[in-house]
Amino acid sequence: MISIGAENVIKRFDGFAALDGLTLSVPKGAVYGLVGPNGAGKTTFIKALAGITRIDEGKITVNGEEIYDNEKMKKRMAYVSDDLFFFSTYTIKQTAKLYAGMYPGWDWNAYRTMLNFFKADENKRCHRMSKGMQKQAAIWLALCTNPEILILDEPVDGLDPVMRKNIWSLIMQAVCDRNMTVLVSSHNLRELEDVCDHVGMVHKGKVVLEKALDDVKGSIHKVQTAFDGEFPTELESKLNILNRTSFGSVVTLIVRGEEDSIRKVVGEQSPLILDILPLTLEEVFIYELGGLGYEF
Amino acid sequence: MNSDNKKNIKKMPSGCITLGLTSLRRTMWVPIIWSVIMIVLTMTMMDSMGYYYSRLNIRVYDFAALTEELNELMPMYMVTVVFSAFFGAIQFSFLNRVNSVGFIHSMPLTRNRIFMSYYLSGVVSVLIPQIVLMLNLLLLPWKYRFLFAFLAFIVGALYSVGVYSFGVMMSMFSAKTIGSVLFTVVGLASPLLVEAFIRLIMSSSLFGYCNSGKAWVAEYLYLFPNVVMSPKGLIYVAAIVLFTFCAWLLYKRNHSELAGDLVAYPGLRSVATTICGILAGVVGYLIFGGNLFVFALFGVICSVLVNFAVRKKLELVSSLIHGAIFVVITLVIVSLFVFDITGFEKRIPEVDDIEYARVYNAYGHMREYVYTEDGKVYLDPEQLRIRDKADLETVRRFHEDLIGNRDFYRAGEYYWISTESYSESIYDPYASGRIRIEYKLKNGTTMYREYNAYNDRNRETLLEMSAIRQLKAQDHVIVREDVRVNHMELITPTGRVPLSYETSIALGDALKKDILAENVVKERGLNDFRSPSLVSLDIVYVFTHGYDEDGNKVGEEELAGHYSSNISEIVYPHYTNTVAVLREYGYGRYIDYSELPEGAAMEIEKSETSKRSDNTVMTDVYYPQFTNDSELIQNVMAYGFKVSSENCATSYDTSYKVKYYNNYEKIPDSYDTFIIYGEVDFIEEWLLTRSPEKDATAAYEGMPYRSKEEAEAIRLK
Amino acid sequence: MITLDYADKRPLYEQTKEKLRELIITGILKPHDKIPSVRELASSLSINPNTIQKAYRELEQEGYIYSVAAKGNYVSPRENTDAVNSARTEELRENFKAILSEMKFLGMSMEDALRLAKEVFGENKQ
Repeated sequence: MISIGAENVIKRFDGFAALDGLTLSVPKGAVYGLVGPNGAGKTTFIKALAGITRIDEGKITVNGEEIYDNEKMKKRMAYVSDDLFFFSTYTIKQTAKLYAGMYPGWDWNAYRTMLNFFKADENKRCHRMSKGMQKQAAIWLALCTNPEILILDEPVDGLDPVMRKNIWSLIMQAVCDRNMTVLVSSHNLRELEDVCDHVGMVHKGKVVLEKALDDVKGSIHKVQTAFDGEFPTELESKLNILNRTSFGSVVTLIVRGEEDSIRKVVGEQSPLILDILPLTLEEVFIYELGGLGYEF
Repeated sequence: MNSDNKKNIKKMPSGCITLGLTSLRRTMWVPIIWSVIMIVLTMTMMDSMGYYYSRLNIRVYDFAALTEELNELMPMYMVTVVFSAFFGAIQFSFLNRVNSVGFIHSMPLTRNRIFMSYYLSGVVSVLIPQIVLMLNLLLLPWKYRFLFAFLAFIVGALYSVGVYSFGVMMSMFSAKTIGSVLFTVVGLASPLLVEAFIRLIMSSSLFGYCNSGKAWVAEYLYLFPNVVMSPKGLIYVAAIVLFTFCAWLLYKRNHSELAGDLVAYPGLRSVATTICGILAGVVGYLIFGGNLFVFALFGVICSVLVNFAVRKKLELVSSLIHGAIFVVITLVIVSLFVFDITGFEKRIPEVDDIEYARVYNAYGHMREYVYTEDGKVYLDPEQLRIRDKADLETVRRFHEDLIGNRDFYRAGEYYWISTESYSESIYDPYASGRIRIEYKLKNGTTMYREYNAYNDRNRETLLEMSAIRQLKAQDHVIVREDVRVNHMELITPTGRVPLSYETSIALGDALKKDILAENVVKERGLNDFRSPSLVSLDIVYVFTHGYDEDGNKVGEEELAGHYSSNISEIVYPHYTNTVAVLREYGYGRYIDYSELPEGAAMEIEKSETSKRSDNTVMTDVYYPQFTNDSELIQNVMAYGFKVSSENCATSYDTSYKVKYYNNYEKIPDSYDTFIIYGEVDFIEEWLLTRSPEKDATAAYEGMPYRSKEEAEAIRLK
Repeated sequence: MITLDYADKRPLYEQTKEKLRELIITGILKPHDKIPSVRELASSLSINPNTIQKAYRELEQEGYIYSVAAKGNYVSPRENTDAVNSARTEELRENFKAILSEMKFLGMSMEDALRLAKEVFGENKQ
């Protein structure tokens, strides 16, 4: 079941296409990371998904229905933007009351629990809180609406490690308990590696790569090996080598393929060392996209 | 069970109510301050309002009078307009910041519901002070205070919601709060500004343009409270619907990504720039008293500045384009008005297209109605309408002649004819020379023109005009067909003589005949002599009929009972019929000066002008000489005086200022003055016997010398 | 119970597996002890529950833990030799060989190696 779907979405600003045929799909219960360099179109897409901007062509659907001006679906979604907004004189409590009136899923019990957990003062004006506290509050208030789908734009930007851990902890609980779908955008892959199970890479208004993390990790490997003598050239044809660097006689290869078959193939050449190491997500993307011809 | 109930309640659009209440609470300070101001204003006026109108407690109340009294609340309504405009402009200000518009539009409410929540919350806010006003007015000590307070609320509601909706609509055009406020204020003020601009440019460029006085904008747009309560007020209801609908449409097409831009729709940038330029030009034009160069300058500068503000960068090409657009607009205006490509100035309707014409003194009083106890009664308008084809031809010729004054007027060589005596006559040499011509055309429209008329330049046509009956009727009320003479008194040098009814009637008929036959410009006009009159008639007359405000004919009884008036007519020697009647009754001696009243005296002051070397004149004034020699006096009276405007460029030589006293001993303060130009032999002879000395203090100098020929030439130019 | 080193470049779920193995090997977690549920671990470590699930499945395949439907995951007793994961033992062999190569390179003797082996195996009698 697809929670969020986008089909060939095009959005133009003054002639420039910020979204240029973007297609993606987020399965229910997935934690989907939307990554890409600044200006790639992540925020533009998210704003369209949240129903804030209209798109020029294509479709964005939530649970199969087009999302623009769709009150019914929006009631089941929560969105936290990276530029926060609170009404100027509002306290946490007043904001909570506003949400309670808007979202049928609002849960006062959850609110009280989280208020305690984060040790926040519900009568303090939001503007008086630090930026980090504000962001935190925005996220946990959104969680109190018990959304089916949570959309976060650069959520942990500006939060200290403790805050980050707390926030993700809450989100993970909701994912476990309610099979909540999460779409989170970031330009920092390292952050997302641990929490996402799907990743979509955005570049120049398109999704250039979309994979479940398992597939990603399983399909590309870093091989560190050394040979007694010259590097065996057979390997070049037998393996799908994406990158090769040498440091002394130690050769580091980035190879696409299954781990077992790579081990077997290299093993045939009797290497002095053979280590197959996992790649970080960052490395995966760099090599995958490099392979596709994208320049950074 | 509980959750089921909760679900039922949730079927109401609770999101709307939540959002609406949020907006209402957050902007509450505005209606509160506003209500306080309304209370202060109302309490300040409570005393004066309560006292003056308590008289109305006695009368049966009358809806029209009640609504007139609503006009007393103008200060409160002006405050309402200001606050409503401001409130409307900022109610949707969440659209102007990226973070707030993102927050609101990501909420689970359809765009329509979001619009309604904010819009209606604003309506409630602007109605609160009107309710406060209504409750406050209940403190008035009037019998009908409930009705009055309710009407005041209705008017206030229409103003406030109307202006508020306008503000909301205008705020949609800008994605910057300051822009919203600016567009709203400018939008509200622009009809007045544009109207003032059109009037000023037409009156300063188009010769003959007449500011016929109807304030179109105030009449049809910015309605007064009493008009709002009439069917005309439905325009406000229509306006509210229109503005709200437009605001809604614009809102739906809002681009949230453009939050912060001065103009919210990229396609309208040029339009906004051009409109701002035009309005800046209009303001500049009005401030600098009608200078088209200032119009162009302000317009171009403003266009460039607004273009910069709108596009957020200085784009040379688009700035040049907008500047050029403005220059084109200025040229269009210049050619329309200054060069008169529509032919306004020369247009004179054909006789066949005219239903009737009216010609009158622009600053005079046309006497179209009179006041009686029951209200206004309109006099027969036909008396002043020129319908006769021959007369209309005369009017056309007169009109053409006046158009001929254009270059003379524009060259600044015009002069003011002095207004020493107020008169409704268009050809009285001492009256103001500003004439208005009005053509009611057969196609239903009315054409107005206004010109200066000069008694020497336009002499011939004035002469012709003076023969038209309707014009005579303006100066001599007894010539009107709806006037009947009641009785008269003869005013002679020796006193008042009441006349019998038959005499009065006879004199009335005779006077009518004489006036109709009189050729004013010739007989009383410039450069002709006339003899002073010692006799006048004080006439009491009535109007025979009129029409009330509903158009029903009102008879003499109603008019005569409540209204009568009198008028004085001087009996001139050339009024042959009148003179004949007077002679018949034995009053002829006053007319031909054959008998002077006892105590008649005269004072003659001579002035002598000589040319100086620098081509100016030096006028010496001699001490006035007094006489009660009846023969001398009779001779001077018979000689008559030359009617002339003192400021004319005539040649100066000798002139005599003559003061005639009816009874010097008894009433030394009562005299008539007239001036005789040119040397008079018998006066000179007499003066020689007196040898008057010059009065150095009365002498004056410096006027340019002109010979008789020069003066003549100037006059005929 | 489980603390992770965020500076470690390896994915957190790898570290999680390792830490659990360590706890089981050193006997801190005894056979049939209940290990944290997927939810608890995902929440306390702030990791995606799917990856925790995957780690648990792998540990189950390796023979370290077993799962009971609707109840949770428990430590396997050592008697369960059928569930020994050959891939894991293979991996361990390779790792061991790599460590021995390095020891050899640095000049340590085989006796050193054997002594160490005896130490460890001497403690945990089968």
